[in-house]
Amino acid sequence: MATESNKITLVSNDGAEVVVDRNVAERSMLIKNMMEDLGEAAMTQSVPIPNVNESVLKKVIEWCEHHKNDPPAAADDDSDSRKKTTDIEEWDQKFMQVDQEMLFEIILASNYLDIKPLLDVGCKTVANMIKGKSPEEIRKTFNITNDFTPEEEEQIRRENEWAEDR
Amino acid sequence: MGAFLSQESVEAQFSGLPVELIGNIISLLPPCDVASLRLMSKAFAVMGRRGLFNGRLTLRIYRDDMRRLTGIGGCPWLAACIQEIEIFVAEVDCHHFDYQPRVEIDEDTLAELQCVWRFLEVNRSGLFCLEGLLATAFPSFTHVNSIVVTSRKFPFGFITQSDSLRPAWRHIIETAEDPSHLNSHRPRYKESTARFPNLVLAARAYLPPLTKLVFDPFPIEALIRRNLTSMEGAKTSMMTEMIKLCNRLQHLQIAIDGHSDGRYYDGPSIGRAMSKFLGSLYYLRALELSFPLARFTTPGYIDHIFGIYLPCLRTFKLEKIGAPPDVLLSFLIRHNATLRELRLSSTALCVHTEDSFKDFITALRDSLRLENFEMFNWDSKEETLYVEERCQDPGEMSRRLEQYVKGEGSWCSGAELAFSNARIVQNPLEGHETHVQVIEPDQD
Repeated sequence: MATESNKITLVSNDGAEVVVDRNVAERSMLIKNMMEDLGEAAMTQSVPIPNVNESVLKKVIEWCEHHKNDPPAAADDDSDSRKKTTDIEEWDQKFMQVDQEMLFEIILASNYLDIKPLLDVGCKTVANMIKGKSPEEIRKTFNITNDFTPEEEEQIRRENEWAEDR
Repeated sequence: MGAFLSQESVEAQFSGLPVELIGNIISLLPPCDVASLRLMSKAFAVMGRRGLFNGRLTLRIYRDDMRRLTGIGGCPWLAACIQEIEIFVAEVDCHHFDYQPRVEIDEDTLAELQCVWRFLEVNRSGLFCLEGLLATAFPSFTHVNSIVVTSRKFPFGFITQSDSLRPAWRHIIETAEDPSHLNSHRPRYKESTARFPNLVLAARAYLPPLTKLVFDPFPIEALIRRNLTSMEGAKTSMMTEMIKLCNRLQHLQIAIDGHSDGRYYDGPSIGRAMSKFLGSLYYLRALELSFPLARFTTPGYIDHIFGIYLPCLRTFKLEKIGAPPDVLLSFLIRHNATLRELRLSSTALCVHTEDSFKDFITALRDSLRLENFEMFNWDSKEETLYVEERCQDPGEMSRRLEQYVKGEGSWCSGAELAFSNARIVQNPLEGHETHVQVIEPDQD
């Protein structure tokens, strides 16, 4: 339940209540659309966030607090600048210095809550963890098991030779 | 909690991301890193296929890309990841490096360029765009909907970032294309022109219907060539094949090259061929036309081209034809129901007085319902730059003209002078009078 005007209460999937300014919560397009649909009724009721636990929800809200005054991103922002994976703001880089489980939880939560800029930062962070590494190093980073037979691996190597601008 | 996570659950986290999110991450990686990622596991090998190309396959004449094309064609699951094939066609022979005046390209730059060239050059046996190779590979490219043929982008950007190479390479290409050199390199030039029919025939026969086609340049000689024999031995014509290839086209960009084999193609029958081709594009929404400066100014040519009607035309860009305002205006008004974006170079128009320029722009305001309008100055210096190097800002005067055309501002005095350089451009034919022969096919 909301405790003050312009504040709403989010409830994580493990039952924790987190009170947050409406303009911060509305960085999430999911919550923003829900508030618009429900109108004033939403201000007096708790909003369940069934896919996100307390620690991840608090982390996501920390990001939303910091970015609450950012201009809205263009709807079709698929520009080259977005694709420069090293182009992450310093604050966001520090924000993303978390263990891998939290990193992937943030990505999943931002996807569920429809917070595209946070999702972009998360994806860029993972991409930067991959860049410049050998296959063995990437496997080690993400603890992926090599399930190729030698013949299958050789086939993939041959296919990779056709990659663009090799 | 994450600090005490077991290795198994970490693995589940990354591999367990939804496929579209892994696709997002892969789209942020350059192909070399995607190649490494694909070697992690079977699942990533499949998910990373698209990232090897990011939708586009680039074929460069300077390296062994026909082998690459057929290699990808041999893996249909890879070929299916490609939506656009981009082909770099500008070329020179090695000996052009040896005859460059040292005052125009310094020796260090030339040596660096030679080094890049020799590193890339694999096989000059004339295989590039050979019809048999295209026919072998293209059937696997089941999702291609766009072909871009270009000589207006710097071809070595993927291997060197050196800024000095760009103008040097451009100069060598221009020298190679100079009509005064053509007699000595005639076989190579014919080979270059022959690639266009090869490409059109193979694309028409083996690729899905195209929605976008860029020919920059497009050799007009190829369009009017009457008889072709398909790979199955059937007789056809270039015009027929072009019309079939483009019958679902939504976006066409063509920079006409009327210069071939030491001759220039001009006249009403060229205009008729162009109008027959353009007039067949019933689904076209965006048309970008560029002409060799001041070469095609014969009324018969222009009248034919601007006599067409394209029922879906929404975006139109025109450069360097020097059209009479009334003829161009008639074409534009004919498309009033659909036309919303118009971009004109200052050389698209041939206006003789300042008043007629204002009359033309005012007629656009009064007769059309444009949402975007841009008038941009033709700049001989910028014209020689690669596409990616050119200034993209049309300038303040252009913005004020757009406001005027959209009915959001008053006439800006001085606009007619700011866009008047069409009248001072010299016809390049005059400079090469001794080297070229102007061809009007009806009389050829």
